[in-house]
Amino acid sequence: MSDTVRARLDSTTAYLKENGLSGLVAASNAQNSFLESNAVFVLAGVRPIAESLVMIGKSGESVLIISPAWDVERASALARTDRVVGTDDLPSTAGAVAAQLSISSATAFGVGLTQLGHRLAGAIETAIGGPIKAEDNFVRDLARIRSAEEIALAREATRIAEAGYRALLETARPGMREFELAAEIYLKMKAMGSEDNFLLMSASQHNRAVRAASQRVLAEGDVILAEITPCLKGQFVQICRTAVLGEPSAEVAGSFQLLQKAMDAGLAAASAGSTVAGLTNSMNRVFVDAGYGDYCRPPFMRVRGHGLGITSNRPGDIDSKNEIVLEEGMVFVMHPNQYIPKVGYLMCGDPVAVTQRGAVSLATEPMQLDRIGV
Amino acid sequence: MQTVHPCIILGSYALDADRLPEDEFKIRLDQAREGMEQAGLDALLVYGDARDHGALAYLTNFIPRMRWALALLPLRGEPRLLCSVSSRDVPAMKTMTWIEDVYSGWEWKWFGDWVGRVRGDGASRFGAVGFDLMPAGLLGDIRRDLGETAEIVEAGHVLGRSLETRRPRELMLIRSAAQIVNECAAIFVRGQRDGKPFETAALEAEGHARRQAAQDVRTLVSFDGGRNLEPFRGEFDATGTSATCYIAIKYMGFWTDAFISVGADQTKAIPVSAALRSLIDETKPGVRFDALHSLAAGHLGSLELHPVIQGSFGHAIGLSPSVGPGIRAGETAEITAGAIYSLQVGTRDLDGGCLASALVLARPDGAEVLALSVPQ
Repeated sequence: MSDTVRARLDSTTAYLKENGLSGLVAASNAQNSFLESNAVFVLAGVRPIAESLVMIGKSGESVLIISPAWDVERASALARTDRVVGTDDLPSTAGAVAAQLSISSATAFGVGLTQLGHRLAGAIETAIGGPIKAEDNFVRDLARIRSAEEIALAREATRIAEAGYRALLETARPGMREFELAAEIYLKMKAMGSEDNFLLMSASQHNRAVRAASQRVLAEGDVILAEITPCLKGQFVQICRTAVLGEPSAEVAGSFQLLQKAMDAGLAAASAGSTVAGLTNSMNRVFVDAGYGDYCRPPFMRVRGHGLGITSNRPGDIDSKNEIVLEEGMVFVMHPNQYIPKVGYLMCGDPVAVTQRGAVSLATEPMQLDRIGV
Repeated sequence: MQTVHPCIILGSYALDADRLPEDEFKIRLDQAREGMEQAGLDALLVYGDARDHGALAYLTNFIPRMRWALALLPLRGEPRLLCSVSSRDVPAMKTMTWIEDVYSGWEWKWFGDWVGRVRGDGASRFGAVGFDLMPAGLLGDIRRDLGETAEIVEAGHVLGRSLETRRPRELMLIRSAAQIVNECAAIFVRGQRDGKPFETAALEAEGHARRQAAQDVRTLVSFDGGRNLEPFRGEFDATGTSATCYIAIKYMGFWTDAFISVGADQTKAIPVSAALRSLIDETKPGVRFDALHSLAAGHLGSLELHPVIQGSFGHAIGLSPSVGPGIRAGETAEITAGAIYSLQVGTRDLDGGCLASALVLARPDGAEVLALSVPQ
């Protein structure tokens, strides 16, 4: 990821010069959301353990301030910033580095400080000289187009996700508890190199939504929902899948076809230059035409997909109010997951990349309603 | 001990009413309300997020898996819980708490609605717990809705020692958690002795905990003989004659942890073991932390303290991975009867490192060892 990170550091320096700014103070709260940018990872290439900063002066000099201090050797080996400083006192170190880089709070801007605890954020701003203007979209926009390296990682992460789902199909059986099944899926993907995973997996004879695994015992006839979201070297991807423990009813099978149709409609509509709202409406139209228009809103669904952290969550939530224009190189998950009154919540979705040829699924295996023999 | 925080906390979090019945939470809430009354508070606002939620979990059993939650606990009347999730996910959140009045925190009207009710009853003084962790935006929303005439005061003290000392039902859960961490340590040691790569052995230990319904498992592994500990790399080919690993496990809400060193050289292993033994022997109610620190440091002599323990020979542990101050030089806090402590000792030099740990219950007559990991 060295070239990608370095290019983003250079773009940031250019932005500072163009806008007459003294510097950038980018923060990570160390909570790695699959829905959000981690500014420190984007600008340093390091996923921090605790709250950390990247500071960039107008000269272009960049410093990663990593906490806890004992993590400095790892961070130094990974970071693409010019310097790395370890600290257990983030505010005072930030103040010292700001002075070295001639960063003034009045002419700097901040990313991610709003996500820190207010006490720590306030102490950092005080140490630097005062409140810093927040431009939290800066890193989201900076990293919105995935590099070739990142897309390759996203493809590999998708392969891991599919292996996780295969583990579900091979392992699930009546009498097993949900958390036991979730553990096997998670461990399979970690053994393939996935460092993190937003994994929801639950089952019911009539699901209201997908949720985290519980102590519930699997039974024949259960519809198993899986939202499998491995992260590989900072690239989250997500697949959404549905499997039935036993023979699916005709109603479940028919309803699932509706989701597949919506997915196809979304893929057809998602090209560079089209809006997120447009592609959302294309997917929603399938459900509206089938008589489920009243169900295209929470609590019957949430969104039709979303961006993927921890580099950039662009293009954001796939919903009908989002007018962001899709660009070549964006990666996001498209998932027309839907509650259908007669059969419950069903899931179907893949990570997609926007290419010259339109939106392309990164998955290699078919997205179908699977049957698990009992 | 800080580790990389996962994007979502996996594992089963549903309230187990057999092991933690609702009356347990009534006892806890009654204690909190006594504290509120003494502090002249009309209500308590308890904030927690996915990283730190000890007080929130203690009072509600609710643990935010990804974002945040806010418990609204009036001195009299029914509590409310706001969770940072979509309304689609609220029914699943309700399975994690005894509180019936649960709403999506994304629909902020539910806070305003509650404020209107308690302000109508005359409430004007609100105690805040965990607010330091809260982002400024949310804090601004709370202040705005409470109104200019409302007073918000820091109120962590109203919970007293209850986050540190363990009640009988809690102890039962912690003993189960300690058993799992002991088993995980043994699995890592066996893996290293069998010549398995460091991360393979660590993943086998993690897998054991997850299959026992652990709610969270964190590991750090050394790739340089114990000199440094690192988060997961996904490099399953690194092996060596000595290995060091840290594993932390959350089970039924409670954290336990262990440092595991295998094959460290005796110039480190012997003093580390001696220091840990001395800490265990002297962990008694009333003993000051600085005295314990001095005792353990004496065994290490001129050896460098391992940086991962950050100058501390341990701390209380419970619904948070670290509760209260560390056992460090100059710390005047004392060992409390009924509290659980994670005692930790470590050293390193240019060639590698060695770490050891014990999980102990401070009983009136001394420490009961619940989990032990000495250099192998």
